[in-house]
Amino acid sequence: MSETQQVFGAEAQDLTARTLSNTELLRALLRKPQFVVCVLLVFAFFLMAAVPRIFTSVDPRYCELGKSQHGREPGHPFGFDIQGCDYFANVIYGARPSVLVSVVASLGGFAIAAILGLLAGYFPGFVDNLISRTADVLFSLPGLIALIVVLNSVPNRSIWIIVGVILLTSWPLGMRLMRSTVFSVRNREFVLAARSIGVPPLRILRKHVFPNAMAPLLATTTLGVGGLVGLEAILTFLGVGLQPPSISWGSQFGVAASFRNTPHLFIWPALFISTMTISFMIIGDSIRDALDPKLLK
Amino acid sequence: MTGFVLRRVLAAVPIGLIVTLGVFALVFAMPGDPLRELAGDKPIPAAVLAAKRAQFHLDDPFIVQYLLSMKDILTGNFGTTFAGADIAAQLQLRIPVTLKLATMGLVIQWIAGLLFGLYAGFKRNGVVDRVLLLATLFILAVPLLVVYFAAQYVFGVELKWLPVSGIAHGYPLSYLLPAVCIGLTGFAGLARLTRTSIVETANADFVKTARAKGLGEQRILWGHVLPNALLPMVTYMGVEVGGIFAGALLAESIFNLPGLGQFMFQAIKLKEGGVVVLLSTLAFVMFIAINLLVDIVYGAIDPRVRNV
Amino acid sequence: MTSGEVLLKVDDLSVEFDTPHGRVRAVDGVSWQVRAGETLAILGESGSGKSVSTQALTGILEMPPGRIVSGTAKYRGEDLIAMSVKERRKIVGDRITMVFQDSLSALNPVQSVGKQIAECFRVHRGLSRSESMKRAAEMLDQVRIPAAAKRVHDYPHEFSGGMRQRVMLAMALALDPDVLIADEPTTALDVTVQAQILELIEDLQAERDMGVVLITHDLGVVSDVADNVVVMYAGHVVERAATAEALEHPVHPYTEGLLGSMPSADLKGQELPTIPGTPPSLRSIPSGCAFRTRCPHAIEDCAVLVPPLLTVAPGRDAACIRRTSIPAKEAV
Repeated sequence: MSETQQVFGAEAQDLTARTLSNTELLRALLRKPQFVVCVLLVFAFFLMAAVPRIFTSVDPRYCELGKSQHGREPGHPFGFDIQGCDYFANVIYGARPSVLVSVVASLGGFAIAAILGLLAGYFPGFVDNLISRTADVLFSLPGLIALIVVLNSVPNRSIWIIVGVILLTSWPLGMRLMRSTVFSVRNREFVLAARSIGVPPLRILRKHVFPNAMAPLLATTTLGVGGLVGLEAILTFLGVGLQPPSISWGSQFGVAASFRNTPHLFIWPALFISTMTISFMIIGDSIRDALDPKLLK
Repeated sequence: MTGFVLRRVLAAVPIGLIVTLGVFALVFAMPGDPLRELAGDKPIPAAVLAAKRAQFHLDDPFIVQYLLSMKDILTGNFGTTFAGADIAAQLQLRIPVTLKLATMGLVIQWIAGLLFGLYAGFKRNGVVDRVLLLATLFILAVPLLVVYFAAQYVFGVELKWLPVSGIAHGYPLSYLLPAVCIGLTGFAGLARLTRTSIVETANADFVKTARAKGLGEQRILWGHVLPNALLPMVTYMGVEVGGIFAGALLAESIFNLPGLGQFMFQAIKLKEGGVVVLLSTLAFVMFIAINLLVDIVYGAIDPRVRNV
Repeated sequence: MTSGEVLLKVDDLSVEFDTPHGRVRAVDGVSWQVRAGETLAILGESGSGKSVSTQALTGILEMPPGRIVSGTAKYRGEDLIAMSVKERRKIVGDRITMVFQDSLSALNPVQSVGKQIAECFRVHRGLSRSESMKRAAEMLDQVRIPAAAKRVHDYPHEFSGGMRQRVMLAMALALDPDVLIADEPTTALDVTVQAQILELIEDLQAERDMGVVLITHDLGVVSDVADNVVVMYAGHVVERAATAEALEHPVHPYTEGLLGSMPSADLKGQELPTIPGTPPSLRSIPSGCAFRTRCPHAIEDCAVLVPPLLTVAPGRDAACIRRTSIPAKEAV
C-alpha cells in the first residue's frame, strides 16, 4: 500500500498550487471513458456494501454441508464454499468490510495527514518536532509488522478497530508529503500578504495554505484507496483482521488457501477485489492526470 | 564522514528504545497467559509453571521484563523460546532463508524496474512506455494477496513448474516463485518512479544547456539526465529495502518458508515478547543502517546534500 | 563598426506550438542578422517570441510540441535548420554557443563546474581529461573568477549568482565561438553585477571579434551595449534599426511607447507614461497589426492586414502602416 502511494506521491509532487475550479475538473474527468466506467463500478461496489440484498436474495449464512465445495448450478452461479453456503451471496456480502475499511481509512487518513502536515509545516519548532519525531518512531518499523503487533494485542477486533489501527500506523507518510508541500507554500506571497494584514494563523491555514497544498496529498490518497482494500484482505488472511463469523474477501482467501483443489473459492473474491482496486486506481490516476498543470497550458 | 555516521547512529538510539519499548508493551498487553495457551488443555504442575515463569521473567514488572530482554539482546544471550527452541539456532537457520528471498526479490525488481523504467523514460510515449504504464498500473492495483495466490496456483499447483511451498527443493528453486512475486510487485513501483524521474529531469534547464553545448543525445542522457534522475530513485530503493522484511513476512507465510517473517508472526501469535522485541530490534537496526546507507549514497551523487 | 562578415542570418523564421487548445504561432516571419564584432539586441516582452526564435534555430527547442514552419538560419551560408542533427551539433556548441538566464537551473547541479566546461573540450576537440580540466581552469580565469584553479572543482550551488553567470560564460566561450547567443543573461542579477557581466561580455567580444545576439526585455541594457536592435511584439519583428537611431527616433508606436515609459531624470515629478493594456495572449492575437489594440495611433485599416516590415530609411525597417517614413520628432 505504502509503496504505491509513494510512487504516485512522487509523480504527483508538482501539483502544488494549481487551483482548478471543480466544474472544470469534473468536465475534464467525464470526458474519459475509463473514468466513467470505473466510477460506475465503484458505485456498484458501494451499493453491494450498503444493501447487498438487491444483488442476491440468498442468505449467505444458509448452508447445506452436503453441497460443500460444489461447483456452479442454476441459482448458484459461483457454486458453494466448504460449508456448503452459496458462494455468490458470500462474495457479495464480503464487499462491505473492504469498502468500509478503504473509504473510512482513506478519508480519515487524509484528514489526519492533512491536519498534522499543515501544523508541522506551518509551525516549525516545537510543533513540527513533536509531530515529525512521532512520525519517525512510527515510520521506523515496517508498516505491516506494526499493524500485526498492534492488532494482535486487541481482542474482539471489529471493523472500526481495524480502521483505527490502520489510521494510527499509516498517517506519517501522508503527513510528510503534506508537510513538504506546506513548506513550499508557506512563504509564498499570498500567504505573506495574508499574514501582513493580520489574518489569524488558523484562518491562513484553512483559507490560503490548505487549498494550495492539498493536491499532492489528495492524489496520493485517491491512489491509495485500492491498496487499503488489499490491506484489509491481507490482515484478515493473516488472522489479525476480522474474525469469523464476519464475511470478508480476506477470510475467503484464507479458506481458499487451504483448499487448492477448488479454485473457484479463490477466483471469485480475487476477481471482485481486483476489479475494485483497479477501479479505484484508475479513478485516482485520472484525477492526477486532470490535475497535472503541464497538460493545462 | 565518521562523524556523520556516528551522529546518525546516536540519534537513532532513542528512537530505537521507544520503538522496542512500544512493541514490548503491546505484546505485554496482549490478553491471555502465553504459557497456559502453549500447554493447551494439559494440566501443568504448579512447580513447572513457576519455574518457567521465572525463566522468562514473566512475574517481573513490565519495565524489568523489557530491560532484561534488552540486556539479553545486547549481550547476545538470546535464550530459548517458550517451547524450548534455542533462539540463536533459530536465527541461524532463518536469517539465510529471509536473506536469500529478499536479495533475490530485490535483484529481480531492481534489474527489471531500472531496465524498463530507463527505457520508457528515454523513449517517452513509445510503445514500451505505453505498455509499461498500463501494465504497472494493473500490477500496482491488483492486491498483493491475489498476486501471490494466483502465482502459487498457476505455476505451482496447475503447471507444476515450481514448488508450491516450503524449501524442500532448496535454493534457488524453492525461492524462485515468492521472489518473483516480490520482485514483480516492487518492479512496478520502481519502473514508474524511474520513468517519471527521467521524464521530469529531461525537461530541466540544464538539459537545454547540454543541448546548446552540442552534445549527443546519448551523452546527455547518461551524463546529465541520469545522474540527476537517480536521486529520488535511490530514496525509493532504500525504502523498499527497509520494507522488504514486511514483504517477506507475507510471502513467507503464503509460501511456507521458514524465515524471519514467519518467526516473527509465530512469536506474535504465541505472545513471546522477548522474540518479538528481538526481531523488531533487528528490523529497526536494519532500517537505520539502510537509511544511513541511502544518505551516504545520496551525498555521493548530490553535492548539495553533502553534509559530511 | 558593423562592417564585419555576416555570421548568422535568419530569414522569415516561423515557429508554431501544438497546445491542447490548438496551434499557436509564437514566432512569425522573423528576420535578422548578426555580423562579426556586432552586438545585436532582440528586445521584447516575455511571450514576444524572442527566446523561442533562437532556441528554434539552434535546435534546442522541444520539438514537438514546437515546430519550425518556415525560414532559414544561415551560419556562414549553411542553413542550420535544413541540416541534419549531426551536422548541426558540430556548429551549435562549437561555433555558436548560448548563455541562459537562470544560471542555477541551467547548470547541472551534480557536476563540478570544471567538468561541465571541460566537456566542451572533450566533445568538440577530443582533448584528454586532464588537458580539458586545465583549459577549463584557464577559462574560469578569463571570466575573472578569483582562485580559478581551486574553484574549478566546486559545484554550481557553491557560487553566487554573478559568479555562476560567469561560469556560464566561460562554458559558452570555451571554444572561441563566432556567435554568442545570450538569452537574458543578466535579468536575474543585481544591477551592479549586471553591469559587470555586460562589461565582461563586451571585453571578451572585442578580444575575439565575435558576434553577440543579446536577448533582453530591458531597454537600458540595449542602449548600453547593443549596436543594432530588433524589436519584437507578439511573434513579429516590428522595428529594426541601429540602436542609437532607434532610441533617438523610434518609428513603431510600440518602440515609442517603450521609450516613453523609461524613467529618466528629466521627467522627475511627472507621471510616468505607460503603454495601456497588456501584451496579447498568443492564443488570441488581434487581427491585422497585433499592437493596434494598445496603439494610440490605430485606425480601422490596422485591423485588416498584418503590416509588412517596410524600409522607412536606409538601414531602418518598421512594421506600421501609419509610419512609413521617419516622423518629425514629436514634442514631449
